[in-house]
Amino acid sequence: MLRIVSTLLFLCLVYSCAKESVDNFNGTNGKNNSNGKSGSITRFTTYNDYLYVLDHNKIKTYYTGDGNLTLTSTVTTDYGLETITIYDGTIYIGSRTGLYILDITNPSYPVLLSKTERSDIFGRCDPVVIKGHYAYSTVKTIVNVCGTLNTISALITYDVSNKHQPQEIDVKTMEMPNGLGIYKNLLFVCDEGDDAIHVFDISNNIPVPFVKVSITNPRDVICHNGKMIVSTPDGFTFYDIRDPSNIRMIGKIQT
Amino acid sequence: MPLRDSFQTGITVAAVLITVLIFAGCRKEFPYFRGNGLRPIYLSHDSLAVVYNTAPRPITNTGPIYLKDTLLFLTEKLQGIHVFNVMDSTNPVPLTFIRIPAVTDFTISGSFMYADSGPHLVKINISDIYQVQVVDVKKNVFMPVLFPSNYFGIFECVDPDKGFVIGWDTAYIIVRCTISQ
Repeated sequence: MLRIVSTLLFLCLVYSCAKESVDNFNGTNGKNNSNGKSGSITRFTTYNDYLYVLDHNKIKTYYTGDGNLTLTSTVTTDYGLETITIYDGTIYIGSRTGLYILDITNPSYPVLLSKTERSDIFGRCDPVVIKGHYAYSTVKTIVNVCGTLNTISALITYDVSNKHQPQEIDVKTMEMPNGLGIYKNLLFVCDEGDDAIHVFDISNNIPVPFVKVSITNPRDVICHNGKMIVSTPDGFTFYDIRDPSNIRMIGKIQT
Repeated sequence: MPLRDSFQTGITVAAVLITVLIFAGCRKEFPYFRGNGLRPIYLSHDSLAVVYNTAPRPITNTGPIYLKDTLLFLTEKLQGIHVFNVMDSTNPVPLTFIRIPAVTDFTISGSFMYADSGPHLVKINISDIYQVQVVDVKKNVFMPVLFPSNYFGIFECVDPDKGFVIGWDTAYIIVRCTISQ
């Protein structure tokens, strides 16, 4: 029954605003591409000589090493692919219905290893960041659309030591979570619902609330070199995060 | 008298019937719905994948972001990419705006930016950040959205010949059915 309803929910939302208002992010650790780092909400990523892009229900791989853009693989999945990140030679994709893990030992041909599914979460904007054997993802409820049916907004922790069988080990309810980032043993999670960055201690893998930084409508975050950049709808703010007990704003652009 | 009346009635009925049949035969459309709904806003196909620099402009609706060395790139949804010099994080400096029509997302590798422009994938050389150059376009990589999001009312169907849909407007619309001949 839950499956039927969640399928209906999914069908109702299959053309939902993936392009218009989904912020697609990508974790700090997953996007170290020589000299660049993206946010956690993105459908595009590169890895060595390959470009990977998401399109609704397709993962497309392009070889770029010879200066051209040559499509080498298309993997078709369920609809609702939202974010992509690469960590330790593995693709992690956040989608409306769960987390996909793909192997890129052969980078031109990603191979699906596993897909988690939750019948009670039908989310939007599902960025994923990874540290070691643990993946962290935020999901947002969709309200007032085909009913809500036990959906929640949350930060979910997965044990991904076995990539063929990721295990959900923790769920923390949040207001309206957005992008996230990792710096050392800290997980930073944007929560647009309560206008704050929630900082969690992940020394023991499961997130433990640590501090909170107030900021209006945080969307995504990049952590790099002791600094955190938080994007908002009309600007961005820099924070010094070297001393986690004393996170302070150091610069900002706001229209 | 009665006979003439019934004859006249018969002629009238026949005339009416014939008229109705003629109209039914000529009729190719009939209104199905008239009322307030959503109508697509189009961007012409010619505008897509046309990429150029402009002066920095205000940030109003951010999307995906990217940090490369001392440059911070922020998507302005459907418009382009803001570029800031953030070498001094206490004083970010706007440098330029890369106009990419219908952009929603991008990534960077080396000197190249890969972005979407509507349904197309665009490769842009950003080695000179003030004068970026499109070096490759792969058409129709991304499936266009043909429905307004999170909306279950009436909307006018997308006509792909009119361009690429970048948004929806409220409008008084007439949704018609057609009878095929």
